[in-house]
Amino acid sequence: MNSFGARRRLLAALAALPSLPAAGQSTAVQPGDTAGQPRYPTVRRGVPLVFPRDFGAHPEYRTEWWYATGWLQVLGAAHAKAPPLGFQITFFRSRPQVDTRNPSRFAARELVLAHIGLSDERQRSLAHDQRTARAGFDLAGSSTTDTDVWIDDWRFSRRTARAGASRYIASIPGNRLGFELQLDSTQSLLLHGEAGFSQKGPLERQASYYYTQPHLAVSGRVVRDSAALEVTGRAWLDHEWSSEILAEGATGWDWIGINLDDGGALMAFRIRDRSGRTLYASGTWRSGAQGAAPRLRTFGPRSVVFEPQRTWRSARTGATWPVGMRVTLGAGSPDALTLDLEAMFDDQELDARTSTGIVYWEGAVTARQQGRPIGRGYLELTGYHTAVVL
Amino acid sequence: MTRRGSIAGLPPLAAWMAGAARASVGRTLAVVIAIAIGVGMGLAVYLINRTALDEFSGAVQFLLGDTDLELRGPRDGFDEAAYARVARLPEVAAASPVIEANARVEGSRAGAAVALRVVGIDVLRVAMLNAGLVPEVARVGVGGDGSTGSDRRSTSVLFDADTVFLSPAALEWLGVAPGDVLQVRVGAALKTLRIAGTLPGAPRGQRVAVMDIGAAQWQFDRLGVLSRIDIKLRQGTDEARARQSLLAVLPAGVDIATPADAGKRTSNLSRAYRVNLNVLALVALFTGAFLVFSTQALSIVRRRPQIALLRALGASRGRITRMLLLESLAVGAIGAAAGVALGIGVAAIAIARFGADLGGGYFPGIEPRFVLEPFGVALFFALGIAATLAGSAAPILAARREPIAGGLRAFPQALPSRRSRAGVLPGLLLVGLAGVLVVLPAWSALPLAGYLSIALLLVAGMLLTPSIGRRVFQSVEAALRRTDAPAWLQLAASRARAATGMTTLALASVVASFAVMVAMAIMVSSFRSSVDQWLVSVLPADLYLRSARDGDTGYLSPQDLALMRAVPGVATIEALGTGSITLDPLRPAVALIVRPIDASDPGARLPLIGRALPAPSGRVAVYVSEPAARIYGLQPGQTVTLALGGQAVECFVAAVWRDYSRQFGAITLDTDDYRRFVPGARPTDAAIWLAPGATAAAVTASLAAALPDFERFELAEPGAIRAYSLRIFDRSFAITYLLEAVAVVIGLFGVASTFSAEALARGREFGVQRCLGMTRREIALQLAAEGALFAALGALIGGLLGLAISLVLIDVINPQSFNWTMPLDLPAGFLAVLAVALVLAASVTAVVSARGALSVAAVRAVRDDW
Amino acid sequence: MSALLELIDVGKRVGIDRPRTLFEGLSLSVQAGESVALVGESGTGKSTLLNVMAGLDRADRGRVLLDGIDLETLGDDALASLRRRRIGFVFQAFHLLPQLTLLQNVALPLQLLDVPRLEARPRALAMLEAVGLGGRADDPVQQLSGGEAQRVAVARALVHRPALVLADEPTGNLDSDAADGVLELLRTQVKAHGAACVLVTHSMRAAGSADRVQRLTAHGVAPEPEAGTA
Repeated sequence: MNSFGARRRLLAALAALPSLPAAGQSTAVQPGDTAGQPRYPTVRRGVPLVFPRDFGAHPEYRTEWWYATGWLQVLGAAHAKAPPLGFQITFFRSRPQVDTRNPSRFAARELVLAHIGLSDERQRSLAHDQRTARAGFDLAGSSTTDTDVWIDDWRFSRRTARAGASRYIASIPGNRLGFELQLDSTQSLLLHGEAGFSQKGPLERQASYYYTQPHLAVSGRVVRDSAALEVTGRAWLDHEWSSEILAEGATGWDWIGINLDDGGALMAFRIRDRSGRTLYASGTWRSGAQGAAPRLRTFGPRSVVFEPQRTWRSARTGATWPVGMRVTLGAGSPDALTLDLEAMFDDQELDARTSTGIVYWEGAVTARQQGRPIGRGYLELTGYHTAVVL
Repeated sequence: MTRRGSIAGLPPLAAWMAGAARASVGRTLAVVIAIAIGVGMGLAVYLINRTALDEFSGAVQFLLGDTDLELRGPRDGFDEAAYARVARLPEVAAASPVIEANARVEGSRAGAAVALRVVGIDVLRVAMLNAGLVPEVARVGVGGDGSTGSDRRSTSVLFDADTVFLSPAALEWLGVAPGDVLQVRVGAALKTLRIAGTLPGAPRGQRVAVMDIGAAQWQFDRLGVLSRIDIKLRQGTDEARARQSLLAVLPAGVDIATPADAGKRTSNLSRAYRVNLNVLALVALFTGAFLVFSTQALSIVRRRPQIALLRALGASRGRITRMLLLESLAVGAIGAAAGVALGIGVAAIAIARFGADLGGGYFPGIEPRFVLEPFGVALFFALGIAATLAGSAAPILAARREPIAGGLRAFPQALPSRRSRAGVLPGLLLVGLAGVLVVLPAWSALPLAGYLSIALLLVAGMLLTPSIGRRVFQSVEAALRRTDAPAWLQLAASRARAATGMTTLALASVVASFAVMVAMAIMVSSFRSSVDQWLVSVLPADLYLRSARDGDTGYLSPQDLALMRAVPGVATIEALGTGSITLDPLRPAVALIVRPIDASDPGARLPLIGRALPAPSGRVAVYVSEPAARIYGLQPGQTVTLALGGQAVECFVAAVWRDYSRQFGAITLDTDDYRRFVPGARPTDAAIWLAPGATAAAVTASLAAALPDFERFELAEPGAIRAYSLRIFDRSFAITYLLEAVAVVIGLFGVASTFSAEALARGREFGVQRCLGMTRREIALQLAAEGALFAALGALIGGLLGLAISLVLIDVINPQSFNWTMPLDLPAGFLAVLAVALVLAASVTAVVSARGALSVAAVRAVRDDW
Repeated sequence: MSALLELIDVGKRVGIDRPRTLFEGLSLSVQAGESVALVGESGTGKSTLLNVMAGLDRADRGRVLLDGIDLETLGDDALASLRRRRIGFVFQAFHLLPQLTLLQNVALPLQLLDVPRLEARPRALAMLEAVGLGGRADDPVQQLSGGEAQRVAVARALVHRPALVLADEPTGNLDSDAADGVLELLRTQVKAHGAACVLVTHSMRAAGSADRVQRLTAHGVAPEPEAGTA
């Protein structure tokens, strides 16, 4: 039995899960009777996010993720000269279109997926792993009261630490690749769009609820090939849920989340169509937290510009990635913000055709302004190999 | 170029000898046929079983994948809560929950109602253990804009409550394609499942469907239960320790087995049946070897002058031996090759027509595909040649020892020394040994000692036959001498008494084949009459209604039963449910039969062996079938622990009952007792007693009107069930009848070849008798009488031997391989007819095969002298 | 008084592809109680002639009469019956039936004539006494020497009191002492039973024991003058 092929089949099917920022434009596809069809709530403008409730999961919505990325420095004298590491820990939950009337405890009401990755400049490659399970039997699931999502012994959870701050625990045991990280908030939440209502396409319903916890102080251990490394660093956590995101004709997206060195935070994304044109774009910038009231700017589709500066062609997949990207927020306005993003190393491509079935680039990047580094974060590129088919 | 052994155009030595063999084409042909039949039958049985086992172990392999341990519950399943406990154990790297059903699919190309194995899996979990079960979503209904539409659906399709994925073999069998629907009967409901894709990982021939486990639980009314959990252990985990941890979290009745155990269980399923068939095939081969012996011995005796001449001319002993060996090898190779062809043909046809279990019902859910297995072909080819060589060995050695002068005598005495006494002592010893063997227990659940004792009895019978024959014929002759019986009869008796070695060999082969036939006839007759009586006693009601014949998803709901009770003409209804329970993970599961049993009179419903003991108060009484009692060593009064509804329940064995339908055992308990532990038990069958005056036909019609979807039931009267069961019985014994007939035909071949050869040798004798004034008719009568005398003796000895063998079959082989017993039933009339037929056949054979000698003018026969 | 055996102008051809005349125009008459020796070169058909006399082989032309009955008119069974009642045979190779005792061999012709057992046994025993083997009546024939075997054959040939004994080289397999004994026995027993005898031989010694000697040639039989009145 070719387990390779079978796994590809399974995960190719799962890739179509609305797990990555993805969704279908239509939900009512069941032929004939629609009894038992799940109804996914529409993301609405003006619904305030309430915490800590909204730290938790939103099982009614079609898709949701907690997406932690960041830069780590290995501690200890032996690693004094070691370059930094990039890490990614993502938990998704998805609500498939299955008959809601099925009383079985095994009915796939919710699927939980997790992807983890570690970028190591010295190895110039991305180590990654993933898990998928249906929620249930306490073996996998998500809490609706606070951030707590798990698959078997992989878990990502939050608790309230002193003075209302958040402490996230990422417990991802593994020998080849594992994390035991504690992520402490140092700033307030950053709500994207209109107080967390983040439009993702030209249509009103193409939207998500989206907030970020930037500048998380990270400490803990990373396990790489059975070796535990004490690390410290700075991370970025996205939490986003929606029922429908991608506009018709969308083939992929570019996204960045950058912790600015001055304490500021910057998020921007654009949705591309088949010809590479921007279908929709948006961005959020918050100033450093030195003042009592940080400045917050949100940017609409026309004022966010992604300009590839340098490309890298993967010998593995043949895809060409814009690993050097110039992102301009507030384009056309005098206080426009322009960042040049440079990858930690070029090959941060995730050839997940045998797992999630798609090829994407998820990499640690340094942000520079006129050549001067001003922040570090993650760049995500999709749809450059084949269209992200959702 | 000079060919070895060829001088100036003279044929080589072997060719010269081959000419001699050509002269006896008929006999050589008989040998070839005998070997071919033995090899063919053996190979066919072997290939059929290999095909079945390959398919079945392929299925096990396919369904288990890389599983380290399989946690298997009873057929009714076990509480799904165990899954979470198992999955959380530190020793467990991955756990895959599985629910299995044999869905009753209606209205497909495969038939009005057929059973399809459906495996409910968590595709996300199973992928870690067994990627072969991961379905492929078919791209059906794709619009013009590419694959977007179908892909968007594909995720949900994997988990949908009404989607099912079929193996290619299942698709072909049912005549469906992705995008079609299946109608599946569950209880009274007919459910529609969409075929959303295929199982590319399924091996050829595996008819199986995969569904989401949640969907399967819901669709098949199996909410809350699992059939099994497959687990993969964390690397470096000690299996024994893992077993301990597992035992602590598993409910009673869930067994821990390795995939190898599953394979063993599979193989155990059909082992007894397989071994029994193979033994029958070996009997055919043995008889064939015997015929080789007699033929080869005869042909060497006939060629003594030629052989002696060759030796006188300077051929070495070794050369003669090689020549004769080569000749046997050639004959054996031709026979074995023909046998291989026959075996392959028979196996292919049998598999195509009856399935790989020859209708035995051991391997459901598999579309058998005949696979030619080179090892088996080589093995049976070699066996055929070995049998030929074994048969030739003694005559060839005898030829080696032959002094040259003896063969060159002008008129060699055609009578090889009669050493009829020689076999007596070894024969008696073998009988004694056989007597010891029959009391030995089974060897790893196979009655090998029993078979060995049968073989010893056969050999002993043949060893003793010459001596017995001489004594009997001496008495016959002496008796005839005291009468004025016609000269031809007296001459026949004298001739029989003075039988040559060849003739006694033919007689021995008749004895062997007739013994086998008689033994089988007695065994089958005893078995059949027992089954018949058993059927009468297990079918006390007037009508039987059955819902679960195809698949296990049909059942009788309480509403169904209520509707049936209300039908006019129905006096009583008893519902019966069947499950399974594993008492030993290495053995096939035991059937669990739940039905109302009156504890004060269990004999009313069960054909008890012996009396029932009253259960101590508070204990659950169970009634154990004879096979279950024998396999697990259960006796009335003992306690057996059964896992009922996940609890280990100490049950009291109240009685043992006769059962011929469940070879691996059955345990019956009262419905009320069972419901105490398993509240939702589902009956599948109902026994209906009619009110006085009601007719079965009228009640059937009323039931049809009262019950919704009545077609899902089968209704039968006990007579029909009995007839049907006996038909199945006869069919499953058809192959044994065939092999017996083969043995007897081979025996008669021996008679024919011996008599025709003897007739030639006795040409002069017949000539003298004609000179003395005997008519041809009288000589023919003499021959017929000789044949009849031989056959009668053969029938007598063979009959007695057969009786002895049948006792071994009935009292040793059957209990040891099938774990049931039966009283002896002697089909006297049939045996008498058989014996008379044998005697007549031998008479006719003797006359017909000697007619050549009779037609030669008497003059020619005595010509040497004049 | 008519002859017991009468051969009139008998001819016999052998071979199918290239038929050859064995003998022709052969006429011979044997009176009851008369003993005739037939001599001739090898290949002149002496044995065939004997077969023709016994009705075992048919002549191609001419008539063979036994007791005045033309053998040509008789069927297979009638010929067998005639042999049973009227003819006794002595063969060169004795041809005793190996499975029978001396007595049973001798009694066989009587059995074939349905002589009751109680009568047949003493007659056969008496016959065996007459050939000097009365003490070995129940022995198997395999134990006999050639001379003894031929004595038993003589006994078998005469036990049913045939009118004609046909003897084919009865001494051919015997050494000369045994041969003399057997010839003497044959002569005396044939006389004693009043039977006629046709003796085929190439031994003039043997022929000398006969009443007359006839030489067989391709053109019939002729008296052998030298041995004629021995």
